[in-house]
Amino acid sequence: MAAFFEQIQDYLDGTLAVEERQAFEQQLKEDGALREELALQRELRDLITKHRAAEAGVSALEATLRQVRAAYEAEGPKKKPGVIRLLLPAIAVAACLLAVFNYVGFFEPDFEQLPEMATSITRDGGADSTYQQAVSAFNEGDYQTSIRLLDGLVSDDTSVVRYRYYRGLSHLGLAQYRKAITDLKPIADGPSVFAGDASYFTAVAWWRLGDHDEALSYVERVTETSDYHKKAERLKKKL
Amino acid sequence: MHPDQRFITCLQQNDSRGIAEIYRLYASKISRMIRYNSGDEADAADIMQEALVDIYRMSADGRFVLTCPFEAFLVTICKRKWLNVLKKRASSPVTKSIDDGFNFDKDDEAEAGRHAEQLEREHTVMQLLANMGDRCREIIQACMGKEHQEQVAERLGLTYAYLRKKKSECMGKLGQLVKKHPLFKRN
Repeated sequence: MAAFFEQIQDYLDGTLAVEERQAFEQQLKEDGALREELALQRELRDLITKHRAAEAGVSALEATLRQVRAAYEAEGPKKKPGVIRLLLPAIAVAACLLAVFNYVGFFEPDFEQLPEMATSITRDGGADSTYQQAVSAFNEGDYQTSIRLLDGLVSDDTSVVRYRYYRGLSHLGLAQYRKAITDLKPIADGPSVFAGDASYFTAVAWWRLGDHDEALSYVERVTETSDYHKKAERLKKKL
Repeated sequence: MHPDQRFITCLQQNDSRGIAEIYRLYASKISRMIRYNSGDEADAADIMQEALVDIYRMSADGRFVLTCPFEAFLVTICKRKWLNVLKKRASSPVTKSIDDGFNFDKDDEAEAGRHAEQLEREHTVMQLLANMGDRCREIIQACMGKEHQEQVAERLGLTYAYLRKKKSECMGKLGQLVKKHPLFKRN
């Protein structure tokens, strides 16, 4: 067995004499187990070599990641020590509530997580450009801007359901639940391809407004084929 | 190749602006997923950092081709890492999978899963190597560098013949460990 492994290593190192290499290659043709072992050993060598070479850059990358992470965290609203100190009692209460909440709905999804707004070809260059700007704003979480741009598109063409759907989602992103319902409910009630998804988000908005009956009536419309069916089921249990 | 390959390049080149963009686009989403699954901000930040370093290691030779959105790939890795953390923390085994709340395209999800599995396999091999005896680990790592093996033998105070013999033995042992690992057994 030791000679078997030694031969494989020598072959991969290119240190076998010509006759030995030819004999080994002949053996390879006849022996499936040897071919398999050679492939594994080659894979292991490539992998270890790659990771060993990468190691040289890891500490520099980790340093950059630490810097970027610190900068990112510093930009966040959480990094205000004075405010945090003031809010500590409230945070403690919230933590207790969260613990209870977590116990009841362990592994609960983020019901309000919005989808990516899809890029799409629209009817003319001007609308397309505005739509692309709205896509960028929406996907970056700048819902004020996406609403402003989509307002323009909706007033230019009220027939495009997509504009009203994403405007409704933008309102949801800003926790403007009534406005979200104004846009999403007619879509949920209508025949468009967005109806299922709009039903889910309408239910979420009603739920957030505390109207569980309305929320339930919309969450039940989310079909099994919808991407949101699983979440809808979770929301239904919650209601 | 997916256009998000640029994020892989950013990691390979340690490009701080690109990395900042990765954080700006995805950190809050990863954080949200982990916070909704019994973790906190610090857990999320650690998991994301580990995932990015793993992606760097996996793609460092420039041969890795991303075939799905970076977000799907990153989320999949973070999710699997977090599940492992939860399994370790739990007094009884965690049987639930993490509900991440993401809705990726099915093909993207499959591709992300494939990449994440490759990453896990690589990580496993390196872990198995790290857990081998000191001598084997030292010899294997030394022999996989650019240094000629005769020089390696001299540096380690071994004869060249012994180094070759020992390296074959250790690589054989590593191969056996890999084959026995569940992650490799199922293929």
